[in-house]
Amino acid sequence: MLNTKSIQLKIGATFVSFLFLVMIISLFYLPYEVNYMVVEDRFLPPSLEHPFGTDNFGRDILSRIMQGSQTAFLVGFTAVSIGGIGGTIIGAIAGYVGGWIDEIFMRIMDAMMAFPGILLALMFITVFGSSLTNTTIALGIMSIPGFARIARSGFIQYKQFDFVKAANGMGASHVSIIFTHILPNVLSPIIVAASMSFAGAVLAEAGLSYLGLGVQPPDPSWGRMLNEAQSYITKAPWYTLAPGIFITITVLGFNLLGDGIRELRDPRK
Amino acid sequence: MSESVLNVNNLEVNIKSSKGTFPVLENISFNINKGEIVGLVGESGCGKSMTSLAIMGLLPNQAKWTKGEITLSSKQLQSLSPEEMRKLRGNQLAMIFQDPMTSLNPVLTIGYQLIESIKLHLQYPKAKAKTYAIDLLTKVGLSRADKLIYQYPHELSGGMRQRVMIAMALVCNPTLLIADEPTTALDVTIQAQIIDLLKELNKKEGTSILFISHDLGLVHDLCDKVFVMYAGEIVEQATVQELFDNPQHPYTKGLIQSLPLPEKKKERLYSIPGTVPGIHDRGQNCRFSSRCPHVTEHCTTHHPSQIQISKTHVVHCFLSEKGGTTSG
Repeated sequence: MLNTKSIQLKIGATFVSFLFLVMIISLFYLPYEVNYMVVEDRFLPPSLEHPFGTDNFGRDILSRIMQGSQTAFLVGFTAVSIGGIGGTIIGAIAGYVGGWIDEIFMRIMDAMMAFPGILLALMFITVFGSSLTNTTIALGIMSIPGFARIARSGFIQYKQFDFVKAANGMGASHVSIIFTHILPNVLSPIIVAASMSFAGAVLAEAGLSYLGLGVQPPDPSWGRMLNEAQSYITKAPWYTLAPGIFITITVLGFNLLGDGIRELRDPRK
Repeated sequence: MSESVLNVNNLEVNIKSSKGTFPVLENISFNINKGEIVGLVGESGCGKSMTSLAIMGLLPNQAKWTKGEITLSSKQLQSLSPEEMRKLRGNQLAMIFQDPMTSLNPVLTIGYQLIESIKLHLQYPKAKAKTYAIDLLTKVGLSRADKLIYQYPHELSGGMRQRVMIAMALVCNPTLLIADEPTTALDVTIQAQIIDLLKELNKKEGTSILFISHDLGLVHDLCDKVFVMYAGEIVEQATVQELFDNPQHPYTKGLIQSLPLPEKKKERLYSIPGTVPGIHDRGQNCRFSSRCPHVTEHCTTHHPSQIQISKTHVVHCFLSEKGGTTSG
């Protein structure tokens, strides 16, 4: 995997591991306390003491970015897990069983797909209150149909393979055929989708927080920081730059990683 | 008379299509005794595989078993629930498929696939299952079995994979092994090895084998009895000796003539003109009448009934009706 020639995979993996490293470090060490305000240190430009400068309350931006990466990973990971597991199970059943069950499941998925993700998240937040948990659950539910489609097409394709017939001939149960025989074959497109969907979830969380609906102040979130920074864009341009760059790196990194894995698995090369 | 392992009586399977329901198998009756190797031959689309799937209880969704009984060691298969049928598969009934390249799961190791089925049927603990898996692989003539179980199917050759498939089929010492063209996808030298392996298993374990093939040459080498199928019916059944010495049905004769033999090297190889009639255009006539060189008026309007040539030789053809044998 490491001696691959795929540039995309290398860049993607580098970005993602960098972010992961930042997240891990932030769990144990932050340069400053994230909500520690020093009023006379407002809008300090990047320096050795504050590599990304300080914000309108004199808080260290680097520390807040690092803390924000935890939120990003938490949201991304949870949303992708909900979507990935839920979608794969629905898709697997729909594809494997077929017939009217397939029809019903997939029409529900189509209906969900027709519904804009941000709108569902907004509805969720209106009904259950604005919190990170609700945002994450809403994002997870919205990514179910994408995974369900991929899993379904994979199961339809693989269920007519001889090895599935052979497993059937050996007396394997349906559950064991679904999980041990077909699922490992369908896993690679699902992993690619998970990587892409991770980027989508991070972006959506940033978007919602930017609108003031996700993470609540004073907790740091990249989207929220962007929102605050735009009021001071002329006075402190570095404030917008830091969260912007991190959001870009995350989205780009996971998308490139997904593309890279897809390329790696492509047998036509 | 030795004991019967599989008895199929008057089996009929219908297939549903957009144009209606059509029979794919009709009046299939045969018997396989313990320790026998039985060949089922015919062209593509004759219903050979459909017959084997019906026995396995793995008919596709569109196909339905409408009539007849299948008895496996005094068990009526049609009265079993899907769950009981599932337990029977791999246990008393096992099947080897045509293409060893696709019948093994590409993402699981050989050992995993084999051990899984051992654990499923014999409830062995893991370590015992592993030793048994190695034993089985050795039994089917694979060397380095202890290393092989950690390998993936793509690391093995076609012949090796077919041996693995046979090993998987042998897990529970099945009473009946259905081999659906097990050598079609293999080259000739490997074919011979696999045939020898099947013979050896039959001799050592007493496993009855239903060998499905369109290669009469292989059937001649391997089988005790042969059923010739044409368009969803068994048109002739006989022992190998009888079938090759005294073929009755014009279709059987055609098949035998189409065999490439060394002494026929200079001649153009015979082929039966035409193709098998589709399931939509099978009427109340002899199904071979459209391709038969000896067709008469009677053949196109009537369906031939069973004619007993000898105790073990049965044919469905009007030509055999008038005074036994007819010359080609």
